[in-house]
Amino acid sequence: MRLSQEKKRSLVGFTFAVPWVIGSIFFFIVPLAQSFWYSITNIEINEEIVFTFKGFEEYRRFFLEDSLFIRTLTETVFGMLLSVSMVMFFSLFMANILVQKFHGQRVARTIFFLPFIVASGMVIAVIKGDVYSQDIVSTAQSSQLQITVLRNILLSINLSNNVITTITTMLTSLFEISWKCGLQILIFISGLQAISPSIKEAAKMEGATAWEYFWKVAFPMITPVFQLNLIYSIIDSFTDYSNVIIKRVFLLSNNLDLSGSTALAWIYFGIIFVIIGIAFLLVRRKIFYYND
Amino acid sequence: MNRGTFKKYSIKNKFLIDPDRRWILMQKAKTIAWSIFRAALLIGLAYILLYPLLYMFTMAIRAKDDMFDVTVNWIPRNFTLYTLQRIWKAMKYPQTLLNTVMISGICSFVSAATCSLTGYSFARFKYRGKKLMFAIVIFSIIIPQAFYNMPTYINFRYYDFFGLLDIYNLITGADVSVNILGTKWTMILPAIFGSGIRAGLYIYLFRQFFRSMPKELEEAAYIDGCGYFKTFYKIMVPSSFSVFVTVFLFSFVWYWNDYQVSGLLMGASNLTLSSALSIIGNLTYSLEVSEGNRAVDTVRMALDNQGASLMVIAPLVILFVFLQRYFVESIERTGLVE
Repeated sequence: MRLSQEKKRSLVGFTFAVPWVIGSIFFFIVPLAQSFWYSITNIEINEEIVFTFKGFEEYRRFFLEDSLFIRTLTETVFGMLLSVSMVMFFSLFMANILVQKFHGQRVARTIFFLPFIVASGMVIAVIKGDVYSQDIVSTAQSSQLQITVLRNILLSINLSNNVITTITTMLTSLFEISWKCGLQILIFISGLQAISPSIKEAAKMEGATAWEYFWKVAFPMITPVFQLNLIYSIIDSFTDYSNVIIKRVFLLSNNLDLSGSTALAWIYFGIIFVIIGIAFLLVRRKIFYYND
Repeated sequence: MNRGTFKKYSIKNKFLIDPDRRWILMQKAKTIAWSIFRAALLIGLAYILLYPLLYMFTMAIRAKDDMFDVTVNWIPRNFTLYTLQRIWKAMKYPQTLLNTVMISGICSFVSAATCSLTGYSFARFKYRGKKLMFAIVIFSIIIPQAFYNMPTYINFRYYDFFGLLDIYNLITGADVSVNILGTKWTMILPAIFGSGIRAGLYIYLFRQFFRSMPKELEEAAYIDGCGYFKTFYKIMVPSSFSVFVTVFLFSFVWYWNDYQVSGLLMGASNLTLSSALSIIGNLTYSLEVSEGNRAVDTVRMALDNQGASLMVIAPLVILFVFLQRYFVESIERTGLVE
């Protein structure tokens, strides 16, 4: 049998992806389906594992019987939204500074990328969990003091309590935020560098200030990168192991409550999927492609 | 003389300078003020970012007495290598390090190979089901591995080699399954088949890069009589070398830092540095017991934790310092930002 050139080409193309197809079926799709199956069955582990179907009992239990669950869920989601927006703001700000030319720019970029190496694993958990660090405790106390002062000032100008709490939480979490930005800063920097200098020159000739240049020219040009970073930050923050829900998923699976842990994971994933979808659609309408 | 006249005089005098020069001076002042502000900001933030590393280092080399000495903050009074030696023994450091390097290296290498093939296939060829396959790639980026950890664990406990053993069992009527938990294969097998840690991301990166490459190169190779595979590894692989390096390094870091997946699937029989760090309390405790002591006090534990963190992260940081160019410039070279 002779294949046409076109057919042969697409067959070869598929062959390139065959290892991945095998892998994604056996190490991704099947386990994922199994985890859904676990969440709707009763699992008994004796000499052999016995599954008995029980329906969406676990899901119902989380929503209707667990009094803390909905509260934890909303807190996690809102905390995540706050932290993601801060990460985006901070990394955009830092990228704008690091993209300028100055002495030691290379060193600065290296240092700002360091969290990516250190913070993606167990080490950061140890660093954060270290209560014996006199230094961390004392800085926490002193910053607490400053925060009280700031609080009083803000109270005196009649801001509402909620606003003040948001501001002070933002300040205290600066440490954590700056640790989450490594890759995002790098991506923003390369996005900013990809803007051709002639565009900047043209804007300058027309009399745009730096502020106007950033918002009217540079920012629209890096919106594709912005979208990428936004999605990455959301994924990063909800897969973070310090996340309360993820911790609970692990706790339940360590207690061999497999159906509970998988059900929780699926609930959480559903919510995150909706959030990512909304973020994607919201940003997509604003995205500007230079080449189009 | 009073201040009023002085002020007036100086204003008058300023108008004497020609306006262009004044404007230039103002710009210069602005630039200097901005660079001072920038330097202060960067140094302050760099301190926040370097703080944990410095802290780990100073904790790892101090004696226990220094913890009760209020005058000691950064520079230890009693310098000692005791903590590091303890951790060296408790972690079985050389063996664990070798294990970690092997797992991270092998997994990252095969991951890069498979993901590049897949990315190339997505970028250059048309076939039915490609869109669905790419959607699965995106899903595998979004869904964290933690979600299907437990099924994977059970599958590896009763491993059937992609259903091959099942077929064998069906034919012969036997009931054979293999337990590969605790071996390196639990990490390497998914990596070979492009489903390792964050493999979806690498496929995406490769796809973006290959799409941005000119088609003429390949067409010239076809005309010269190269087959599809030969074109790939003679033309595409050498010209995308930088992306391979990027993917390898990122993957290496992620495998190095992973303790959830490797801790679950390989357990205590095949410790990596990160999973050893996650159970460092148990390791030092069993070391103490083997030496005839019982309790590990909390201050000792604090020192141990920091020392162990330092020893886990130090090889990676050294690697990073030497290869920082590849990391820091990596994103630009992948063509992700176009």
